[in-house]
Amino acid sequence: VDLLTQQRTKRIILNGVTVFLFLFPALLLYCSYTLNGIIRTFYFSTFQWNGIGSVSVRGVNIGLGNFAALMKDARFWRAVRNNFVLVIVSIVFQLSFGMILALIINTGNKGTKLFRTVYFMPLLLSTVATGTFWQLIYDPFSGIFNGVLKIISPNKPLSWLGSEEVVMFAVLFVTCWQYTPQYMILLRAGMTGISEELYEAATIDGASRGQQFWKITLPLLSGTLKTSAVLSIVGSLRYFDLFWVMTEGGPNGYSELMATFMYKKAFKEDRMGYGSSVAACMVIISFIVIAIFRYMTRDKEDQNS
Amino acid sequence: MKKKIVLLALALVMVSGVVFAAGGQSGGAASGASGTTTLKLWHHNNTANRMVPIENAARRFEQQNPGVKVEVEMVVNDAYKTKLKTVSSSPSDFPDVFHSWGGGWLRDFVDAGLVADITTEAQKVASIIGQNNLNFASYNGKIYGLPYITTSTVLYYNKDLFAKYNLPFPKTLAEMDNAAKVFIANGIIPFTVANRSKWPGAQYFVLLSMRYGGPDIFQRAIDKKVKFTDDAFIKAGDELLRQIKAGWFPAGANGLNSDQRQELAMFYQEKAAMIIMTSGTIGAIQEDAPEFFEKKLGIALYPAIDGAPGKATDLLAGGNVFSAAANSKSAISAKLVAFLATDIELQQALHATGAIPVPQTGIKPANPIMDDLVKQMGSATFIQNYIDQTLSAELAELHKDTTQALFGQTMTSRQAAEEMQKAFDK
Repeated sequence: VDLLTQQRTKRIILNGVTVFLFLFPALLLYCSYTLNGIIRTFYFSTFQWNGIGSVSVRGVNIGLGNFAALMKDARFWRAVRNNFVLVIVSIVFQLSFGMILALIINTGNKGTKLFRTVYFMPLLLSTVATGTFWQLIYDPFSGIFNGVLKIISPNKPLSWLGSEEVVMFAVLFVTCWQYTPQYMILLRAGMTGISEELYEAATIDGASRGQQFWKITLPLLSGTLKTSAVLSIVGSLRYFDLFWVMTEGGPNGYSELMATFMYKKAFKEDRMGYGSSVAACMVIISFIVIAIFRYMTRDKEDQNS
Repeated sequence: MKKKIVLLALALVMVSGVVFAAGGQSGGAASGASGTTTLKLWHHNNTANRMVPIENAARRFEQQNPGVKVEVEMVVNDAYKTKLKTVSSSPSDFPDVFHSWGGGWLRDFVDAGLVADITTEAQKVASIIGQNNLNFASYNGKIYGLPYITTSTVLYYNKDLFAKYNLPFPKTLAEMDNAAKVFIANGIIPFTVANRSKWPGAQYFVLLSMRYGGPDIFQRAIDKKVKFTDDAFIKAGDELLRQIKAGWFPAGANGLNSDQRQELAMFYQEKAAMIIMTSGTIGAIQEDAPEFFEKKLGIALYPAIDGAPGKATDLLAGGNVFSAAANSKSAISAKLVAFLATDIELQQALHATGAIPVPQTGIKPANPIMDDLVKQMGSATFIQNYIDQTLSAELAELHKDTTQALFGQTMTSRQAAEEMQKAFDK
């Protein structure tokens, strides 16, 4: 008996060592880059520092001074607002269009394979390429969009990316175009996991296609939907690349996001401390939003698991 | 057993990845064997026609200075600034000779004690490169860098279009106004500008300010002798707004991207008659539209304004500067900086890419346009360093933001001026 327990403890310890060994590299990377980065960001955010030389020598500790200035910075609040617009648009449009496309390609009708490939293509392009060619499409003089508009109203080229009122819509449209396929693939993967028998049973019971969607597909997809929504919220709050490539936050800050604002402050204006305080706010805001979202959707999760 | 080996191998691979990632950083910084000094040189010129000559010049310097090895590294523009800033906190990674644009950006590095004072070495070559070229990186009477490329702001125009409508090139703003009216009436945009990156449009405001307030108006504002709300800036802003409303510039200019040469396309297609850009654009035009370059391209001075102190020959220019790091090798680094500013072979090669030669003599003009440009620079009555390099980084961004807002007509010239003064007072 004694030998048996000894062997068992040995195995447990060995198991633990193995688990640790396998987790260690990832943990090390996570701690040295992600965690360390976040902690240092908060540390830097208490300094007035231009990023040149070491912070302990060249920086002036001003406590929460950067945050106080940030709270009064109208540009920052516009960026926050734009980020939330992006969150809402992403969830409402990208997820729902993704769902519609997933339903279409999931029917298995003739030609769906072709459409699956076509719809998926935007996601395969690199963001820089996407941003660059959409800039050309939006070109007020030789772009396709204005070529069509010219037929309707000549002599008034609309400047899609140069006008303060239009620029957000123009870039948001491209983000939807780019990311809808991601949700299409996620949701479609979720749909293939739903047993065909459920639909057969429902059909025998006389349920219509609509009823089947609302009573079977949607409830069973809720886990996938929630994952997609979390991905979408986090992605939107720290979004940077497409906006940077297409507008650099311009004109005049009307398409500014928190991340582009942070980059400009830290690296273009050489205000590393102030930029760090923007980054710190991004962490806090993202954390709060995700916490609220998790709290609001917690009941359904319990049912699932 | 087999499974165990596979698992072990996997674990090894994963761990070694981390070790290599951590170890990779320290390589390369070590200097060579005893007797040789290795100098690290960083620059940001990413085209082969500039990279190769710089590399070759480094080899020539090595031949002239036995025991010295120069390692040249190229980093692209925005990444360059970020990278240099990142290594500024660790002296062993900081390059011995590095490129910058002089002005306010370099000044931060000087203030941090990272840059060597090379005044003595610079004075030795002063007679070759001329006094103006010593000013790109001099602070408090000390010289911290020498230019190896200089560029200027140039007004390019389509000679054919001016001839077609019988217009001589305007000497004053009033004449320019007439020309603009003729062009607009014929469906041609007078000036094309791609203002997404903000500095192309800001040049117009800067030139107008220098005409209304005198060429040193910005320097006087920085020295607190006048305010950024001075009449000259308000007038310049108002005039720019008037021109924008009158259709001098393409609608939606703020959305056009100069990196994609969207504005140059309009210039080649003769949808626009003029453009103001840096002299580096000469190379771009020659490459994009060789026929246009040969037959139609002309360069001119931005006109003067009747009754205002600025002259048409007051120019805007800037330089790409090499500086030496303040470390044990700074004496030989300073020598390399001076060498790059004066080496005829390097200067001739850079000149072919649109750079104005730094040495005052000994460089053959690459083409007629460059010849005109060198003459323009030679007869300049005042040379103002590019404003976005002269102002502090923060103020420079605001300067560009506010002029972009003028182009978008979302700000009045007074609002723009007041924002500048407010930020300057901070």
